[in-house]
Amino acid sequence: MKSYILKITAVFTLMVILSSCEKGDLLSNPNVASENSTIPASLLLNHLTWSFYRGGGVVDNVANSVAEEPFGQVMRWNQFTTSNNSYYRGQNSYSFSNTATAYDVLKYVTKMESQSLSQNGTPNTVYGALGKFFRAYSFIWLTQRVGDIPMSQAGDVTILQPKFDSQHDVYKNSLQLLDDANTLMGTLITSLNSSNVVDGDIYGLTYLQWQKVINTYKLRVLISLSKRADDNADLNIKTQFATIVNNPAKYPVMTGNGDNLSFKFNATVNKYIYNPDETYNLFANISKTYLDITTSTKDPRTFITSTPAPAQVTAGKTVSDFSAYVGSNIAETQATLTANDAKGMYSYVNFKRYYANFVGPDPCVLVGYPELCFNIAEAINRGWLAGSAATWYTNGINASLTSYGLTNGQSYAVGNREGVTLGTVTINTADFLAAVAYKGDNAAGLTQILQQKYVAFFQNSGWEAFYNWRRTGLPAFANNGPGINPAGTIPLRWQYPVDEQNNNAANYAAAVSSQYGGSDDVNKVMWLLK
Amino acid sequence: MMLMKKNLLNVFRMLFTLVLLLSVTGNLFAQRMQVTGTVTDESNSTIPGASVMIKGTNVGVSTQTNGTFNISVQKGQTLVFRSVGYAAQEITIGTQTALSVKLINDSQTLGEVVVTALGIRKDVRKIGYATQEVKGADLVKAREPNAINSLVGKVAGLTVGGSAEMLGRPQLVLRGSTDLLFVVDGVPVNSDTWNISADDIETYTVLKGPNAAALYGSRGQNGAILVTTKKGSKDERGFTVDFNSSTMIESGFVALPETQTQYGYGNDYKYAYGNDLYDLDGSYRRTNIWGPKFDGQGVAQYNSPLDAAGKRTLTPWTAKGVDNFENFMETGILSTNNVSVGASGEKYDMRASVTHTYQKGMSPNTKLNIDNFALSAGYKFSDKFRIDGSLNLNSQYTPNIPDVSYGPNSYVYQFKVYGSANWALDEVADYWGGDRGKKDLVQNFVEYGRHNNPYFTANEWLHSHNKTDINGYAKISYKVNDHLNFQARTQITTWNQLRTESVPPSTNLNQYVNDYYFNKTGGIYNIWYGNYREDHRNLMEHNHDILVNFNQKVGDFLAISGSAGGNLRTFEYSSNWATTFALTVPKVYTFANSRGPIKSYTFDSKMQVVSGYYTLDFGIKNWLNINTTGRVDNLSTLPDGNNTFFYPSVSVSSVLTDYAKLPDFISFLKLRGSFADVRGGLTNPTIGSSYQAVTGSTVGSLLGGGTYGGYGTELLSSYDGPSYDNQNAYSVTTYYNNTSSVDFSKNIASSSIKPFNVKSYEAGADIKFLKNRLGAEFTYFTSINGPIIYQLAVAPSTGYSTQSVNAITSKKKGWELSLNGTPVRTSNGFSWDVMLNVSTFKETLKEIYDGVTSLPINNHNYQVGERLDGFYGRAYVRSPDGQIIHDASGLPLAQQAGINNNQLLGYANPDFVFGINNRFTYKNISFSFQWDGRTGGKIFDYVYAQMFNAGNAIELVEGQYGAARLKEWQSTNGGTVTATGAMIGNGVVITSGTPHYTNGKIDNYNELTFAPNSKEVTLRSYVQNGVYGLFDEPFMVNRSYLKLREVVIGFSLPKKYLAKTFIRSATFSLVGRNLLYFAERKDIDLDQYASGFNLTNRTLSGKQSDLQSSTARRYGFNINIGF
Repeated sequence: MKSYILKITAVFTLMVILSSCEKGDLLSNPNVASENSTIPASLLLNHLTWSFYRGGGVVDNVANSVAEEPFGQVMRWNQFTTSNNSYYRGQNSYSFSNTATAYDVLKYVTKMESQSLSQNGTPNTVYGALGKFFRAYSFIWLTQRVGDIPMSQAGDVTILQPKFDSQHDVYKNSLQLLDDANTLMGTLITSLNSSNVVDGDIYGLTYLQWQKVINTYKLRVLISLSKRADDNADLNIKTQFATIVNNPAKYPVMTGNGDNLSFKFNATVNKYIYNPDETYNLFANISKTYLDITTSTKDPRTFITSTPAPAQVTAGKTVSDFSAYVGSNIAETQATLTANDAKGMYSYVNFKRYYANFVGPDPCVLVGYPELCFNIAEAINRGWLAGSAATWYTNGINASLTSYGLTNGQSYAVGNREGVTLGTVTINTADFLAAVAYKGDNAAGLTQILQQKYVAFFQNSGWEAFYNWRRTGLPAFANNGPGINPAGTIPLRWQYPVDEQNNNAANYAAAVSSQYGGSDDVNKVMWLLK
Repeated sequence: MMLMKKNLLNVFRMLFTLVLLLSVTGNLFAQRMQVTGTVTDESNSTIPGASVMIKGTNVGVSTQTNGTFNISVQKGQTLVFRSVGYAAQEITIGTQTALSVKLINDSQTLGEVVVTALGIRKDVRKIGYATQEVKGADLVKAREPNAINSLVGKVAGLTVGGSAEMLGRPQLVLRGSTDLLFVVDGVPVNSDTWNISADDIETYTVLKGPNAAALYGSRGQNGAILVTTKKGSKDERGFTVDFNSSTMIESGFVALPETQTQYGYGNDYKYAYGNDLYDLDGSYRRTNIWGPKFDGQGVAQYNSPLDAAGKRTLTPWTAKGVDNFENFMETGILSTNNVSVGASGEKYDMRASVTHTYQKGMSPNTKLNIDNFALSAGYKFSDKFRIDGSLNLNSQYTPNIPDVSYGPNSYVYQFKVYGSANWALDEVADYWGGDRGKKDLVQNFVEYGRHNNPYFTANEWLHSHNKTDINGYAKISYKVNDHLNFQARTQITTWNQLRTESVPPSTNLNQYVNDYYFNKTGGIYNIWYGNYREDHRNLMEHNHDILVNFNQKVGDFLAISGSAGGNLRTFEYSSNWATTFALTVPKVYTFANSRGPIKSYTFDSKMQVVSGYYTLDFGIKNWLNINTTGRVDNLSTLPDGNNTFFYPSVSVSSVLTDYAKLPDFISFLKLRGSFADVRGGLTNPTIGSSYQAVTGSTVGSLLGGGTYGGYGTELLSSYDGPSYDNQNAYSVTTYYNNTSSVDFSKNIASSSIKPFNVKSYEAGADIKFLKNRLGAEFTYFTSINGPIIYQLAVAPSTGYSTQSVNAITSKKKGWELSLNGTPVRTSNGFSWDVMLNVSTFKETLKEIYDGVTSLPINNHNYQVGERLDGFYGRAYVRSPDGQIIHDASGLPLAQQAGINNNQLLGYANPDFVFGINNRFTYKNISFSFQWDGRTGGKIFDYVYAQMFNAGNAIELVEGQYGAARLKEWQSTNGGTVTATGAMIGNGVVITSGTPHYTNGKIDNYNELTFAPNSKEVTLRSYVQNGVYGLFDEPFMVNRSYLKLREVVIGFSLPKKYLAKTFIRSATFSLVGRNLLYFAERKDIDLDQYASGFNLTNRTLSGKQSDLQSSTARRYGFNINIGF
């Protein structure tokens, strides 16, 4: 009897244990697609185009990454706006330390290329072409921040300590990638698809428009090399620039604002940065660097972007008086700015324009036609190619005015920082254009080009305003003050990422040694700027 | 009234159950003779708690506090008297009915038995590692709502960070590790710590680390808490019925943020409520508390009448709501009632128990009910064959518990961080009323930007919780002979949880949540109609195991005993988290009512562990005991080839007093040492929502995103399932305008990842002095933790952030001391018992990875040898004499940016954790109290930092700050002109020279000259631009605290009064918990923040406090009646 019970129980136990074994693959995560899954290339392009808008490393939450959107930290470093309240609008300080990177873009390009290749059987697709563009973008994004970077061995999981390429080589290879991208796009564009948009692209550009973006961007890169245009024959900077401008059939570039690579906000998901939910307009001011230029040139964009300073209004100035628009100086400490702001000394962002709705007053331009015009004007001014700098300069100004919807004689209501109308101004573009008439292909003309490019960069094009200043010193940024940072000077570069220092130590040390005498210092001057 | 009804109902339920159980089990009163007597020691002191058992049965009684006993026996039966530290004595009953028993003190026969891993009971003298036991009966009087919280201060080395929140999980830290394994009656259970009923627990045994818990495999790597539940009665009548009832009220804060109430809403001493709903026209919609002083002057406020032009008139600005928070909070109640029936007979024993816990929170409209049913039974077919079964069902249900994350859902946020005193509670009690409220659409409140009407929050914004836990087992055992037995067991632990959140119309989440419209466009208000969310989680785990136990003596010299067994663990988990995207119809909380596309996420996981294990113990005469264990695990979470592994442990102990001549005052001395090596990998102890499990982001970031975006706290449940951390994969997401996108892993997976490794060494001594009146247990331990499975940073140029490798090894060292003694025991029945527990540990970085010299985590590049709980942050830059250097504008000079410039601001782990328990007993009266606390360590006081920034911290109206603020206010002429700064920061300015820095510190003091700072700035600018966002140092506060944790005054009814009743025993107690609290700052109750650093998740997760609910005293009474 007892052994009977025992036997039955033993058998029962055995059966329970055997039947309850988990079956199948328990190692893989059933909630996601494995590495070897087929993923439409369009989904990867969607990620890439979004990353491009957000800025280097932001989507991947890379340490020290900074969103490159309107009214953010970058726009303070571009000296368009200045915070008077550290809690609500952040600090102004140029506290550059270890940089973020855009290598995540490289990773997604690699994935997009391999997915596209396996799905289409050829690398020669629009995803292949755009892959080259994003590849070049990711390297240039980083090299202009630090100097030499890993490029030729980067993005390969089998090489955990990639060697560094010189900044010269990074530019050389990136320019080649952009050229290859253009060539491939050229072969892909047929009359059938030239007006098609690329599946997955959040900007909604056509094949042809993407080709224009690639070439327009390449001109930005070439002009950014202006300091090395004379002593690096192998880079062919001037020739490449002239080739693009002079051969629009092979190298189409943007022909108007309609070709801009711009991020369109929408009312439900990707709302404009300022909007009716976000009504703090009292903690940031328009910067002195910007308003000093626009007010001295009677630029009507003054009224579009800014409110008159309350103290000036109280003192009796009219809203059409340019001297009523006063910018705050980022080189002053935040305490000083706060104290001055409390006295109503500074202008604010135009509430009526920027807080009015959820889609914002305009899309955020990332690579735009006005910049293209100024870049060509600058190249002509510098003698890189023949042509009328004045025409391109004026085209750039007009394109910028158009993007704000400004026309001569237009009546425009100016409000205070809460959007209450204070008065009306009549837009006078004629006076403005007269005041900024091009002074010729000389230093004065170059200053004008760069000033107007700067004004056109207001709240767009990421870091470009800062990089242009860094390269040319124009327009003059507020600098050398206690508000800049503890050292009082705007840095010229970032330190390499901590993880690169720690995990690619030998190559890092060699790169810092060969470029900066062994000191990874934010005030050192990189090859690009020498 | 409702409450009373509820309690009555509960009492009724209890009584009904009682009657039912009595009628089943109250069977036999055998015809026997009563024997009474007293048990004393050699000095004629009475011995309370000695056991009096009838030999050959499991029937017996314990002596009372005065050493007396009363038992019914049959003639010829033998009584066995036992007490710890005394030789057992047997007396066969003849005709005598009154006995006087004298037990002889004898350390040689110390017969304590402790529960060890797998539920195997061992003689305490034969184990070579540290364990500590706590009697369940000690924890059911001065109650915590949660059984595990009660262990605070009771076990050396175990830190219990009781959560201040309803249904909050306590943080348990054992030797610096969190995530302990819970084991009930030998089988692992998945526990949120709330699903264990304190009344059903006989003992808690804490296995302090892998040395004791190695047999549980990787799950025992941090130690385990073994719970042994009560079993059938040992009472001679064959049954017992016990009733335990405890009622406590909670009131009187011990930790409460202190705010100023002199200044109200506004900025720069100005404030005006706008002219319309939501104050959309105003500049102060989302305001700080930097506004005008309450001087009774005219200010446009939310209830100021509108004039003919529709503009607000000015009404007196006064502090009407100084005690708003205190008035809003209510008295909490914690009531627990338990009835249990135990029965036993020759062939069976059984126990049934029902517990109801009712908790009413201090936040209005919050409560929690827990029903717990426990049933266990054993039946003996024969002397050899036995079956046992146990089932525990726990049901938690509440319509609303508070959510306390930083934001407008938290009362501390609303009242303390951003609370202005310009309104009184009763003005807003009608939360749909007022001239701005609209019934069921728009709440009525005094400000909108970051505020919700607290009554609206309490009554409309509801968070429900429903959870059912079941665990149980069936076991058969077969005893071949005294040397060999078998057992087989199958066990289940499962739970099912649903949490919902109903967000009413017009709720202010946070201004930064910009995915919902909440504004005025074209003159029309867009009202957000709210949201509805559900979080479903299910876990099911089976364990099947078999075990063979044997023991054999080889001559007189060697005793061998051991066990061998195997275990199959299968695990399945599934969860679903979904939210509406705004509601279509207000106040209908269903998914069908979603206005936009529903966002829904599912997560499923499975795993399996097949294990085999053995223990082998050798006893060499009375000289040496050697215990060895070994375990082989096959884990489905690791790649083939590395998924099967072995880990051993060995321990040695020797009782010196058994064979060596030691001084007389040493009655017992045991030395012990042990080593264990535990492995495991790729499992997580806890899991968040399915949204987090799939995307890696918390639910708060779902809508709106960004630093401040979203709402809702990520809830972590106990899990112990696969982490899937070592896989390269694509996950689906959307970024732009709901278009589809994918993410790819940022980590490089490794196909050759090995299990992690923890090697633990410990040595200790147990010693008893003066005939066991004083005892001490000391353990020193050190453990090498790692290399763990770590996602180590890689060069970003690879395109990835991290790679999975076996890297990062830390070293922990520490010790634990537990002292207990009876300083006084008199013959008239008075005794004083003391117990003291102290522990400490430090964890340092031992190794990183081949070729990597520093580990950049938590804002610092940690080097080998550094303490991993070092808190690095932004510190003031100081002059050589330690004064704060200010810049030209009068603000403290900012620290240099960059990871290497951060300064050490303290260590996040406490130095010592201690508890002291005193117990005085005199005849039928007992009085006990416990102090416990921690010393050392620093924490970033988040509440303080936020109140400081908001202008609300009490410091900002005191001392130098207060004087400057008042002066500035006076300079504004009643808020009409701009304030003149009056704040001069204490410190110096640099008058010549430029500072140069190395690692954030000035290194060229010889080139600098200093002068006192004399620059005046406004206080707000000093605080907001100069201190709050720039420095961590001012908000680092000491973690040391001391608590009067519990006080129990008990009175047992003397036997003589009960002799003629059916009541066996009756004890009444007055109880109190958390009565006194001492700490440097009392913004937060530091209790909750037990661990500053945790290697498991590599973060200084405990480095800063959160917006914890304020904690209060709890006191009440307890009735314990045995029938």
